[in-house]
This record gives sequence, structure tokens and C-alpha cells, in this order.
Amino acid sequence: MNPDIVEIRPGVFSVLLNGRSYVIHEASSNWIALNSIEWERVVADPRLRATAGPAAASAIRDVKAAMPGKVVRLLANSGDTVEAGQGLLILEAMKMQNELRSPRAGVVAAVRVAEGTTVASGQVLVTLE
Amino acid sequence: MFRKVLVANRGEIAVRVLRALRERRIASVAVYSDADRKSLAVQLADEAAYLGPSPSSESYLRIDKLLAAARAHGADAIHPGYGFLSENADFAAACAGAGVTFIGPSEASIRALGSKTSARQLALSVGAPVVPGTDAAITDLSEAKRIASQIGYPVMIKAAAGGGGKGMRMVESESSLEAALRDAASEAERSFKSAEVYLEKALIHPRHIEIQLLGDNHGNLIHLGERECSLQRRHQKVIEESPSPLSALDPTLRHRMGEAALKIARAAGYSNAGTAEFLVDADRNFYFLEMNTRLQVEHPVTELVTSLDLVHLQLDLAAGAVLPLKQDDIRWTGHAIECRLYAEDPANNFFPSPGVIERLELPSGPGVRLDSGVYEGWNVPLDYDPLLAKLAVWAPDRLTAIARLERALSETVILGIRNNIHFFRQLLADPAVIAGDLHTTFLNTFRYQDPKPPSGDALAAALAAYRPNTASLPRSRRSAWRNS
Repeated sequence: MNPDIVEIRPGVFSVLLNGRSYVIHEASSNWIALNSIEWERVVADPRLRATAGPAAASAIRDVKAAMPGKVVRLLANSGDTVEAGQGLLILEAMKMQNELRSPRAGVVAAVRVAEGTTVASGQVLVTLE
Repeated sequence: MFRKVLVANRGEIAVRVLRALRERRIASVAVYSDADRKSLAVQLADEAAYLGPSPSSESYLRIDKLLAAARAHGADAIHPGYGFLSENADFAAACAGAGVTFIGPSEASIRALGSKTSARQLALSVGAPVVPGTDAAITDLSEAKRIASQIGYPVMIKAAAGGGGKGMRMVESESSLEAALRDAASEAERSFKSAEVYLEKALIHPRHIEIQLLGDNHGNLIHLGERECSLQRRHQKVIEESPSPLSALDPTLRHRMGEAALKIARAAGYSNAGTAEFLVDADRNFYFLEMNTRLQVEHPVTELVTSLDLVHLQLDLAAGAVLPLKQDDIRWTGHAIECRLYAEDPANNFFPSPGVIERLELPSGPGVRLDSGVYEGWNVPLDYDPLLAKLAVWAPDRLTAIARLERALSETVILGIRNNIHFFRQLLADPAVIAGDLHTTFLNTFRYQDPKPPSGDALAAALAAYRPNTASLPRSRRSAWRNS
């Protein structure tokens, strides 16, 4: 059965499908809420496949800040061998300190920030070999 | 009554106080930093004063700037909210010096109850129960052995100058006491330049239960019952409720804890709103922990079960009114639960998540109260606490309240930043939470799990809406889904 879709207001949709009611909220292109539960929609573009999905962790070289903050402590140095999940540094934001962990096992090629550095979202903090 | 009140805070608590001022027809002054120029508080206030740059050390923590703003706007009282300067005796003194009423207890009460050790001494002096232990540093092993066997194992060794778990050791039996003392002392020496340690009875899986107090400037003091706040993460409360599930098992507990809290508050000459925090062990023994000399984040659950407005009462009492209620006037009805909506990512170790709220849908309906400091389009700053809003519900009984909170959460949508709505929905479905079987380390072992990605019709509906002009599913679009 085809879904019955109406746009309630810009970016908010009511969908009726097989007798059930769904509400979808869209935010930016990648985020939606389906019946109020949020999802990030990752389009599996073949050109992006190399960096998406579970296989991608082994390919990550640059560890980036997920959000703006301040580096309060370095937990790894250049040349260190780290395990997957091992803490690399501690970032502080919103009164909370958060440990940034290594996405994979490897050797730290370079630590790009110092203690006290204020970093922007997406900034490269640590590079793995 | 005051003519004009300055609210020396930000976020949801500034909004909460501004609303009370509007209800009392008192003019209001909001304050703001660079990050908060577009805040909801500024929009809801009659007047607003700029404090300075975003870091709180240059804005919300600046006594001089706050008093200058109060002077410039002609405010005759200041409400400090919670956090920031709310428990700062110097701020209370500076307000008095500037001829502005500080809406809270006296400077002397804040000093008497301000540090854990002085509050503990005060509690001991009036015979209120504290966690059994030594008050002075332990100097030798035989003394430690004697005291440990007296208070009973397990015991906790703590650094006298300490905090943050440094210099702390749990000791299960006498055989490991000597080594643990040595380790704790050397760790304390390294961390705090003081090797002094003391002993305390180790409480296993205690509950955190606190008593709301209210007093006037004429010596009248009552309690408004308890709040259970055992669900904590990193010592931060996330869900609070009143009454405590323990109250149903032991109706005398509220009265006994209330009396202990009142004794401590009376000894400190306490006035206005305050909270005595206790730990409660498995045998329902309770131990005084500390006093919060201010309004608490979780005050709405007390308001919902007592039908009182604590901020209105704070205003009256600070203005010199006699407490309009006696202890016997206080009645508790039904059950209230509150959860704290934070800008954080439960799927990523609760990483803070500042940024723009792109879409916001808020709950309403029977028994729902929302204390929010945000709106759609608001940019949640990275400079402050990640609390966005408090969602509280009231229902005739606890299980209905849990179901109602779950329902309200299911109506809530926050997009653009990560949040803990789904974490709460999972937590409220946990059998231990439903049974009221709570303790302060519960969340250390609670494992949040991402929901399963949508499939079948749900996925089809989501994809259909994603491209509303496409009547059927585009076969070429393969999608992966990741929950926040």
C-alpha cells in the first residue's frame, strides 16, 4: 500500500501507512525524528562508502573534535601505541570534562593541540599513523 | 514587597523566577552575557542588563557587575537562582552592603552551612545523624583499627583535604586496613600536599533523599517533605521524585528526616528556602550529608505534591513576611517526577552537545509541567551547564506518574543537538526504576542502548516523508540509520 503523506507545516510530515500513523520531523538534511525518536540519516553514497560504516574505523587517521571546547589534559603523546577506545585527551565543554577516545588501535603520529588550547568543532586534534 | 527584582542567573531557572515575578506584578531585571543576548530570560523580563563576555567568570560570577546592574536599574532585591553565586556568602554580604535584599538565607547561615565540615560539626552539635566516622585525622594504625571496628566494616578512608575520589580507599576488613591507609595517605599527599586522612563508614548502595525547608526571618521554620534523587550520573541528579518510594514502606521516615533537618537549620538560624541532603542506607538509617542554602533545581516536584509555589514564598519571606504556613498545614498529594533534559549525547558517553536547536516540539496535556530556558532557533552555548529544561509530571500515584512522564517524553522532539530524551524513556522502562528500587550508583551500571533502526513500515514512512513528492520508495536509495 502506498503511504498517504501530508506536509503539516514545512519540514513536518504526517504519514499514514497500512493503517498506522507516523510523524516525521526534519531538521537539517541528515536529521529526522520518527515518532519523536531522532535518527541521523546516512546516505550510502558509493563515493562515500570508503569512509562510512563499521569498516571505516580502520581508515580514520584524523581524530577530530566532535564539538567546540578546551583541551584540559593530553593522555597520549606522539609515538605512543594506543588501543581502540583508549583515551587520547580530555576536552572540556559545558562544565563537563570528556575523554576523547581513539577510534582504532594504532600509533599516534602527531598531537595537534596543547593543554589549554580552545578548539572548534571538526578541528583535528590527534593524527594516527 | 519589592518593587523590582534582578535575577542574577540564566537559563531555565532565570525564566522560572521571572515568571513568578510577573505573577506577583513585581518588575523584573534579567542579566545576560554575550552568549545570552537572545536568551528566553531576556525576552521575558521587563528590563535587561548586560554583564560581559560569555565565560561566567566575566559575567554571572561578577558580584561588582551584578550590583552595578541592580543600582542602574533601581532593583531593591536580587534572586540568585541556583549555581553561580547562589551559595556565596560574600555575595549575600555585598548585597546587604549595597542596600539590596538577597533573596535567600542570611550571610551568617550560608557561612555556617557552607562547607561540608562546618555543616557536619553543626549537625553533630544538635545530635542529627551524620555518616559515622572520625572528625580528626587518623594518626596511627591502632587508632584506625579501633575506630573501624567500632563503626563497622566496610569503611572508607578519605583525604581530609580531598575531593574527586583522590586519596579514597574502601576497606572491607581489618587485614587490608594498614595497606589501604598507607596508599590513601600517599595519594592524598601527592594530590593535595596533605597526607591527612580520616575514616567514615562506607554506605553500600545508599539512596539520596533530601528535605525541603522553608523559614522566615522571625524564627519560624517548617519542612515540605522529601525528594528522592538517587538517580545520578557523575554526581549529577537526572531524575527526582516526591514522595520517595521509601515513604510508602515507612511513613515515619519523612517525619524523622524532617525533624533532623529542622534541628540543623534552627541551629544555623536558617531562613528562606533550603535543602538538607541525606544518604539513606538499606536499613533506612539516614545520615546528614550537606545543606544547600538556596532553591534547588528539583524544587518543582515538591511544588507539585504540596501545591505551594516556592519562589512566591521566597519573595514573601525575603520581604519580611511571617511564614504563612504551619507544619500541620502541609499536605502531600499524589506523586511527582521530574527529569532533566540535557544537551548531551547518551550514545557517546553523554558528551555535551551545544549548538542550534533546529526543531523543538514540547509536551503538554494533563499533569505536565515544563520549566524550559530554550526555544526553537536558540543556540545552546558551550560556556554553561547543558541543562535545557526540566520536564515534571504529577499523577495520583507513582506508576501513573511514570507512565505520564514517558508519555510526555514521547511528545518531545529536539533536533539539531543531541539530548537525553531517549535515555529517559529507556530508564523509565527499567524494572528497578518502576519498582522504586533506587540507589546513587544505579546509573553506573545502567547500560543505555540505542533503539533498533526503523524497519518495515516505519522505515518506509520515514523514507516517504523524506521525499514527499515520491509516492513510492526509491529503490536506488540505500540508507543506513544511526540513532542519536
